Amino acid sequence: MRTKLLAIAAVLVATSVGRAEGGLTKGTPELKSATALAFGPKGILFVGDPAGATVFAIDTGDAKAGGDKPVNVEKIDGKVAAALGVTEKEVKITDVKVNPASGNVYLAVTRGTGAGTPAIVKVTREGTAEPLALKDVMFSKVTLPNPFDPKDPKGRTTRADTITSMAFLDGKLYIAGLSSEEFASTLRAVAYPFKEADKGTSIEIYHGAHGAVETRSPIRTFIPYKIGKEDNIMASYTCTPLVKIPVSELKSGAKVKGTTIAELGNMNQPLDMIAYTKDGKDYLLSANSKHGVIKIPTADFATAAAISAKVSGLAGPKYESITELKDVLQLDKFDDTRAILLVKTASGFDLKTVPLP
Amino acid sequence: MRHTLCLFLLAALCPAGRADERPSVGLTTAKPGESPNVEVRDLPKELLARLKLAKLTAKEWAPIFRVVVAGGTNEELLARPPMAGTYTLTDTGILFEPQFPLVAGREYVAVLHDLPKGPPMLAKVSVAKPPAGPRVAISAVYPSANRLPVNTLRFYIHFSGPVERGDVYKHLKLIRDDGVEVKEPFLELPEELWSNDGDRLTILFHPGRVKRGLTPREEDGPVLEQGRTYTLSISDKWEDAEGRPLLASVKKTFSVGPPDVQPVDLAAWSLAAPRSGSDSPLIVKLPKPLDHAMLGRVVWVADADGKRIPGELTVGGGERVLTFAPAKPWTKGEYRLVADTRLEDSCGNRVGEAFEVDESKPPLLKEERQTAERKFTVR
Repeated sequence: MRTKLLAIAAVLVATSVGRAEGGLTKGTPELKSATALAFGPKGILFVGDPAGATVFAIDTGDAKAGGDKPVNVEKIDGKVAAALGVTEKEVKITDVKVNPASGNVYLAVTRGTGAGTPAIVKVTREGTAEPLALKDVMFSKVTLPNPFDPKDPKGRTTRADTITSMAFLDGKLYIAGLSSEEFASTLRAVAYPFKEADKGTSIEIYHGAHGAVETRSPIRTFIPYKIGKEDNIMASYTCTPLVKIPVSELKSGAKVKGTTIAELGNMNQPLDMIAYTKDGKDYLLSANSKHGVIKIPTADFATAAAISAKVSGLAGPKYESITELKDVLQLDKFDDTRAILLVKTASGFDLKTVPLP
Repeated sequence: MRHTLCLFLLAALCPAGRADERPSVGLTTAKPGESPNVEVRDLPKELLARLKLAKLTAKEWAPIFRVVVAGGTNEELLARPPMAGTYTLTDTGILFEPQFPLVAGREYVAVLHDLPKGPPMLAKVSVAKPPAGPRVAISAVYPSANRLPVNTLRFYIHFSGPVERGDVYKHLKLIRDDGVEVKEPFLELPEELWSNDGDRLTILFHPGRVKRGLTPREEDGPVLEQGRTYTLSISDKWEDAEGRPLLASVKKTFSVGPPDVQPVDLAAWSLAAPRSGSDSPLIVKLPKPLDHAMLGRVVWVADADGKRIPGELTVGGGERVLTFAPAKPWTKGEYRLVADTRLEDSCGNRVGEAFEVDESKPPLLKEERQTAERKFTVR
């Protein structure tokens, strides 16, 4: 028995050394908060921790394809609350992401009514909520620099940048943040595997409104998207336009202005976005506070002229409202033909797998 | 239901060897100050032996022993998924270490099945809650002026203690002078913009209705109209972390003036330098109010070599007066009042750059950290 245990230990050591070369070490990631998630290669989960001004890369060890059973869970908030030892009033699901390596669904959750404590919860195909045990996992992290107040001898700062959205593309993690003080948007690009010295590049995002002015524009949600051969970030601003930003323009210290592709109109807030292909055509699927879920064909994105005249109502490419999908707060691609949605209902929140429209 | 349920209420560990030979359930801590675990003691020997052989996984434990949040009917209780955690066998029973600490003041139920005699055992456990602190009040709302530019972007609401988060926007109303409530004036961010200490919430007016030329503003109109008066109403139904309503609701009434499109200009600040040997503050008067939070954070005083002088910076006078009291009396010499160029007013105008920038100008390559400064002399 003892020999067997030793053998297992030896294998574990070998594994951890092997992984350490990829920048991960064994330990406990001390999350102070978790507002946004993104998946990297081989089940690596990026967790955006704005309170700790840190992004963690955690090896979930969940890299085996999990079959094609859909995930449909009614009152997921109640199940998550039970596992975390609280009531559903005391959990807040801030992000939903599918691990492309396994097809399992992961939630970023805050436990508690005040600042709360963070939890990452895996939802199995059977619909059970399993909080990730973060003790002795393989992980690495990158600290996001606070652009202000480095000289404060007490190191105090009340400012907190929330992390609104993250995405991984070609070895780089893109992180969009929104400040609780200055009205500005920082899009940060950090190479992965993380290197402590590399804080990544910081890009200020502007929006050119109609007429002759431009303004700083926080990004609400974004996804990487290829237009032709050019990698782009398709982003929704908090002030509602959908814009494209070529990745090649995202250079450190640069002031970048997104090209407006569409305006989604009044009393509306973009919430989440995915890109997919159906019947040989590409679409964006966007969840919005007012317009529900909308499907935007991307065929004209390369050639679409920037919207530069005043428009009334909805402008840009024609899009289709998916009326049967209502009250969607989060969405992600479940697989090539389905999406997973976090839907607000009268009694709580449901996770639903639906065919891509 | 398979069994008739019986409920054992045990606040603490019962002495071993009870007459009814049922196990006892209670809370134990490995070290003082640590979050407690749930422990079952005095399991029937036969059951303990069986469990030792079984080597159960967490999933396999749940049908035999689990801890759930109390509340609801017995059916609901028994159907509730277990708290996540780890199970270990002790000499006489089971130790459950919850992955997330038990919440003080909340009741939990330990459910133990598989007892040789009788129904499953349900035992309530709870961690004593420390007495609640004073009730929470809204301590300030910024900008504090009673006249605000029409293009104001944000408010800060300060609380005297932690309050409930999530769905905060339902507690806020913006009411026009004719009694009409402005529809959806704020950007309702699910993340909510809280300060790190948790005592301040930032509320953004919907930027699509503040910025000119955007569809939301074209269709719904701007949030604020020049010449009118509005009241920001914050409800006392907002609960604090203890579930108690705020001490009082707060109404902030303000009139709306012309837009502020001027960059922040340090050259227009008026500085009254103190005398050497005194510890009286440097007093800075600003020609217009600036952002309360940023004034307190991104402005500092440095000596001639650029070394930061320790001291206390205070924002007052309706965010139009800054005072800097040095930790040690002033000595003769040149000093600088320094501001990060990202210092804003509450309309988003920065040092040297208005919020709305002329698009025809070539894009600037900005330094990551840039400062502006005013020199002053202590004689």
